Amino acid sequence: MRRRYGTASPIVAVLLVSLVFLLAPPSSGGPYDPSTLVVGMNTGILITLDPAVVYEVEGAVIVDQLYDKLVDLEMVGGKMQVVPEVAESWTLADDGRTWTFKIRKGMKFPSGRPVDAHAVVYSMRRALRLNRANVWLLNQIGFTKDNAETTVKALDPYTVQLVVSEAFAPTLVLSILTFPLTSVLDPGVVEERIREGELGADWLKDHSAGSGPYILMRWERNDVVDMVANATYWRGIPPIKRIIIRDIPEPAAQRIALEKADIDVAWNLSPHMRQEIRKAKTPGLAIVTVPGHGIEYIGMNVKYAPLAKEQVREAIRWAVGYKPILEGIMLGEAIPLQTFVPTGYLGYNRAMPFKQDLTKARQLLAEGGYPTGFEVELTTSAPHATRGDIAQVVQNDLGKIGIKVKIMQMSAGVMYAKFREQGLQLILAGWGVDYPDPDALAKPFADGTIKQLAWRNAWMDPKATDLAKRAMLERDTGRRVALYKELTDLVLHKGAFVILYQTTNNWVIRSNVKDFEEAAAIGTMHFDFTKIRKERP
Amino acid sequence: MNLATYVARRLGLMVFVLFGVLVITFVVSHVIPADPVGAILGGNAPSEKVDALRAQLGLDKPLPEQFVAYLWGAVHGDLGRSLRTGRPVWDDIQQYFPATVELTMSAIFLAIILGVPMGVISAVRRNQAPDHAARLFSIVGVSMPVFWTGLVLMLLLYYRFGWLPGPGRLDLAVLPPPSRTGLLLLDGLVARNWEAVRNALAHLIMPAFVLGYVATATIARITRSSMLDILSQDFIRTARAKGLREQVVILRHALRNALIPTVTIIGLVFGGLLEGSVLTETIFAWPGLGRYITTAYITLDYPAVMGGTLYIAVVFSIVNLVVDLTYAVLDPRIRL
Repeated sequence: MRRRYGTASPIVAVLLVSLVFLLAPPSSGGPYDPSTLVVGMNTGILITLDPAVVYEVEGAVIVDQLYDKLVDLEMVGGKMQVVPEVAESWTLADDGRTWTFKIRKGMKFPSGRPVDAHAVVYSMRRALRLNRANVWLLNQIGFTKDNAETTVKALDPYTVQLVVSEAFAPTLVLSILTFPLTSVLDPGVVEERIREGELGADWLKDHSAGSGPYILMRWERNDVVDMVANATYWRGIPPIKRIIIRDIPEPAAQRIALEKADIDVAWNLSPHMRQEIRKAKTPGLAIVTVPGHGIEYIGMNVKYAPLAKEQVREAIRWAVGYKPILEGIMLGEAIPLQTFVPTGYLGYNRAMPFKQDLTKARQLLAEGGYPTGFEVELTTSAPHATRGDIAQVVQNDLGKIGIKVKIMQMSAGVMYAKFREQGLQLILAGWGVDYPDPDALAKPFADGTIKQLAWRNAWMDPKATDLAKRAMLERDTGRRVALYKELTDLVLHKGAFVILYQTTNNWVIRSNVKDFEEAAAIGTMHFDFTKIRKERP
Repeated sequence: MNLATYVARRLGLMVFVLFGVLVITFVVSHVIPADPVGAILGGNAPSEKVDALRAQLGLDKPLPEQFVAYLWGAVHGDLGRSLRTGRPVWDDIQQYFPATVELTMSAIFLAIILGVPMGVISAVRRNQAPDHAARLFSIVGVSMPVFWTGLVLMLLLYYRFGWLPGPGRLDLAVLPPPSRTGLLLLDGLVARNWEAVRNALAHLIMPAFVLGYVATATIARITRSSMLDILSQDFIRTARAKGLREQVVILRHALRNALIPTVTIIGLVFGGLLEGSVLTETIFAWPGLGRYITTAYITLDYPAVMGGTLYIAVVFSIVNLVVDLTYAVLDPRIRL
C-alpha cells in the first residue's frame, strides 16, 4: 500500500499541474469558458476505456484522446493517410513480413517515464494476451496471444520489430495498427494495478495510463466523462484544456441544452432535428457532416431459388429507388455509393450505374425466368431510425415489377443469429468498417470462404475470393488499386448485394467552436479534439 | 393473531413474492427469442466468436441448470456479472441506486405537499373553481405521457425562462460534495457545501415534479374523496355544531381521519415511481437505476436486467411491508 502511494506521487503531481490550467480562467468549467469544451452525448453505450478492450465507437473516440499509438490516421487532400505518431519512421524488410519501427525520442508519459520500445511492446503483448473480442483485428495479420513473444519484440530501447504472418499489402498492416488496440500504455502504471489474470483491465476501465493529449480525470458512469489536457503531451498543450462529456441520452434534451448554450456539441441529434435546424438556420448553431465508415446494404441470399439467378439480382438493383431513399428518408445525410469501397478509402470505386429503371428491371426478371415475379421476405432490425422506412420503399419498388415483398422486423440480435446461419432471404442491414483499408470491406463483401456477409448470403465466387486474397497481399499500391477496381466491378453486378449508401457522421455544434471539421475529418475512426479551438461566444 | 406472528407471516410472503419475481424475470429473459451474445458482439461478428462467448458465459447450458446457478448466486448476494460492462451487477446497482432514491424520495415528497392540500381544497370547495382546477390538473397528470410532460417543462422552465437548470444532477461548475451516501443533498449537507445543496435541489425540482405528477394527481383525488366522505359524517356535524372554527374542523378533525387511505396510496404509488423513473431518468439525464435497467434491456444484458428488477422488487416489498406494519400497529383489525 505504501509503495503504491510512493510511485503514484509523480502522477498526482502532474494531475495537480494540469489542474492549474483549470483554475486559471475565472469561470472555470462552464461552457462559456473558451478553454473548456462541453459535449452532450449518450454515454449509456460506454463500457470500458481500456484500449485493449474498447470496441464501441464512442468509447474508441474517448480512448483516442488518452493514448498515442504507433501510427495514426490523418486526412491529407481528402484521402485518409497513415501518419507517424509514437513511431517516427518505419521500414519493411524484403520478406514483406518484418516491420521495423523507430520510436520517437523525447516522448514522456505523465509519470515522467519515457514512451519507448519497451512500452510499445508491453502494450501490444498485453492486448494480445487479454484476447478480447476486438483482437481478431490483430489475429488476422498473424499476431496471437501464443506468438506475442516472438512477433512483437524490442530490438533496442527505441526500435520495435513486428513480424506479420504473410507479406500483406503495407497499407493494410499500417491501417490495422491505427486501431485503439495498439495504444501505448505506461507499463509502470499498469503493473501497479494488475490483479490476477486481468492485466489491469479493471483499473483501466475508468482510468488512463497513456501519453495522449488528455488525461482522464474521472468517468462517472451515465453522468460525466471529464478529461484535462496532459501537460507533458509531446505536441504541446492543445487549445482546449478540458473536455467534459455530459451524458444526455435523450436527443431532444441534448438539443435544448445546445440551443441554451449549456453544451458546445450535440453528439446524437436525430436526422429530423438536424433538418429542422438546417431549415430554420438556427442562429448560433452549425452542422458538421463528414463521410462515415459504414455501408447500408440489402443482402440477397443465393440459396433462395429466385435470388440464385444473376438476372434476378440485377433486376432488383435496377428496381430500387435510390434517390427517394437518400433524399426522402436519409434527408441528404447519406453519400450515394453502389460499390463496396466507400469514399476516402484506397481504391474507392465511384461507379454508380444503377438508378430506378422498371422497364429494364422487368426485362431482366423475365430473362431470369420469373416474368411475373415471386414472393420474398425482407428482414430488417427494429427498433431502428430509418430501416423500417427504407424497407417500405423497397417493398413498394419491388412490388412494381411483380416481386411481392413481405417485411419481417425483428430485434437485431435475432436477425443476425438467423443471418449467420444463412437463414434469411433478403436482409436490410449495415456494415461498419473496422479499419480504414479496402480489405476490411473486400473480405466480408467478396470473400465467401471467410464466413462473413458474402457467405451468409451463400454467395461463393472463386474469382472474387481469389481477387480479394491477391489484393490483400499486393504490395504495389497501384496494382492493388487495380485489383480492387476489378473486384468491386465484379461484385457490383454479380454479387449478392444492393448497396444503398455510405453513412455520414453528423454533429451539431455552437458556431463559436472552430475547426471542428478538421477534428472530425476522419469521422469517428480518429477524432482529434486537439484541433478544436473555441472563441468567446 | 399477535403482531410477531403477523410480521413473520408477512416476511414469509415477501420471500415468496421475491422468488416469484426472480422466476418470472428469469423465464421472460431467457425464453424470448433474442441473442444477448449477438447483441454484445454486434451483427458482424464471425460465428466462432459468438459460440466461444456463449460457452464462456455459460449460456449454452440447459435452462434449469442456469436457473439453479443464478438462484444460488442471488441467495449468496451475487447477482452475476453484467454481460455488457463486465462488472458485478451488485456494484452497478450500488452505484446507480442513490440517484434513483434521491429522485424518487423528492418526487414522493413533492407529490405529498402538493397533492394533499389540493385534495383538501377540492373537497372543501367542492364543484367550485379550485375543485375544477384540481380536476383538470389530475386529468392532465394521469393522461400525459411522462416524456412529453418532461420535455415541455424543460422547454419552458429551462430553455425559455431559464428558471431551472437543465439535465443532470449538478451544474458543471459546481463541485460535487465527497460521496458518503451517494445522495447529493445529504452529502452536501454533511459537507456543509451549501452551493452544492442549492444546485442539487434546483436540479431535482423538474424531474421530481415530472416523476411525481401522476402520484400527485392520485393523492389529490384520493384525499378529496376521502375528505368528502369524512366531511359528511356525524362527528364533523357535531364539531361544527359545537361552534368550532371551520379551519379547526377541517384540519384537525377531518383531515386526520381522511389521511388514512392516503397513506396506503402513497405506499402503492411508490412502486409506480420506481417504474416511472426509467423514462424520467432518460429525459433528464439522471444517472440512476432506471436508466441502467433500460440500457441493459436494449442490449439484452440479462444479468443486469434480472439483478436490477430483483433489487427494485426488494425495495418495493420493504416499503409495502413498512406501510402494512404501520397499519397493523395503528389499526389491529388489519391483522385479521
